[in-house]
Amino acid sequence: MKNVLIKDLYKSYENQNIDRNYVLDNINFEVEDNEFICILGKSGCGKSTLLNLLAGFIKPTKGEIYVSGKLVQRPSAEIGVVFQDHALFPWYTVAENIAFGPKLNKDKNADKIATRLIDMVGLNGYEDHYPNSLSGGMQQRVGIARALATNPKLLLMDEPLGALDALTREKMRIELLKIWEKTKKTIIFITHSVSEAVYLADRVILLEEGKVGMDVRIEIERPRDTKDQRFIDYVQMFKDRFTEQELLEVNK
Amino acid sequence: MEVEVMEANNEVIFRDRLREKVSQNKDDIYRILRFISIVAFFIIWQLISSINQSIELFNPILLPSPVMVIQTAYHMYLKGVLAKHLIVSLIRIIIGFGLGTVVAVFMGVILSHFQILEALIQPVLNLIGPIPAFAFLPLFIVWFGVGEFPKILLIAYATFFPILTYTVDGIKNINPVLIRSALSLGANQFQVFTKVIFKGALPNIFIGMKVSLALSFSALVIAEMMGADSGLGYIIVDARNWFRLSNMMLAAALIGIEYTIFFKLITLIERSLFKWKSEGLKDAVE
Repeated sequence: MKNVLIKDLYKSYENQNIDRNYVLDNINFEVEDNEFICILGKSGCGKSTLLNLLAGFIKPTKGEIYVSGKLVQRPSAEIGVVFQDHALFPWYTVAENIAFGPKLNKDKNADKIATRLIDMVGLNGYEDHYPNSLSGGMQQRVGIARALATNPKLLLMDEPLGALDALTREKMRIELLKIWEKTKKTIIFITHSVSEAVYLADRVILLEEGKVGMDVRIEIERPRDTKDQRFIDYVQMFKDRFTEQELLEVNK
Repeated sequence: MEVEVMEANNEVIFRDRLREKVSQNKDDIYRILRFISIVAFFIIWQLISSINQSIELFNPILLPSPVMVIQTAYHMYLKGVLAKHLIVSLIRIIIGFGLGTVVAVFMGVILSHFQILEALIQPVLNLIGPIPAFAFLPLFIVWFGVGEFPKILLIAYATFFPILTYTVDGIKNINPVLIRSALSLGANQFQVFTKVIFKGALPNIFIGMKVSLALSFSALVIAEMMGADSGLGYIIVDARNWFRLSNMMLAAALIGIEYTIFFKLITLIERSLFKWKSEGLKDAVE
């Protein structure tokens, strides 16, 4: 079943200060239910804008985005977002942060949901801690649990592991896949790390200067081994494409 | 090899404990020094005053001793006037400071939410803001008479500006990503305000309250010095007319004590409200 449908998406800003006069142009793709998509691209390619559009934080200039058949017009609890700098509410404890969404919804099971998610992300014993007292990896686990608490149809992740150190980052990739397998969510994950995209995604969509450059299915069974030849080949393919683009730009 | 590591570890632990102990001892010493400072102040004051009583280097009336001030307090207490003045001042500061705070926070919220209002109101505030509140007291008395209203108005007015500035500042400095994350969890505009913007600005509002408190007390004293017949400020003016310097000092000391109690109270509320700020990395182990 289709979960996300993006049709002829175009976004531009007035007084735009980059060498092209749009941020995103002619973006068309679909995402299946329970699919893990990585949007890969360099900074300035428009991937954050795409996420903001998907989340409903900003409106497209042209084109439409549908999530579960509904046109995205504003942010809602149906589309969960995990932010790069976790964006946890510092004045709420771990449990209160996670129960925030369900409580807004007057869900009587809010506390139960929080307990279950805390258990899932492995933060037992930290329920009453405030975000400032947690390490980066733990903070991001809370961020993921909070986004899952409203049981969204789609989970957007904006470079959620970008602020973590290399070791924690690798650990979190594995955890994230476990969570994805358990919750069966549709995930759109934004990253600029090629190996992260190849490790995580069912499909990698490469954004180049606001357009879809490549849309590649990663045909390696999980758990994936970064030393596997197929893995290395995929990584090399994306890296070659980056180099090609850079050469093109230089020649321009 | 392992034993060596363990020994090295033990040494580090031992050194850390030693350091902790040394720093604790230092803290104790400083605490004692602080206490000595206060005690010495009163002893020296008492000594100068007592010695002057006998050698009369200057008129002894000019410098009553701490003991004399306490005696005055006791006399006033027996006459039943001390409690009356204290309570009158306390009520004035509570109402004035409370009113000023509430109006300032309310205005701060309005100004930071409606740009049109900010454009219309902020210039006027900038125009009259720099004028010391106390300059308006005679005007308030002419307008509103010598009753309680102009006094409370002056205190509220003195409280108003710093809190307004800190409130607006606090609201403007909220991380927009926090607002986005609340929206994506299904919050409406009102919930975003109560659960994110206001909660985030609250620490700033408390800083504004602490800054304002000194101004509020100054306003209290000045209001009670002009056209009042009660309160701690009134005691000071009255004492000047009768040349009772110990009454003056008593009133000044009581104002200081009232201020300190208020300040401590705000700090206590702050500490219990903003536990999330103080809880550092101390117990984060992954």
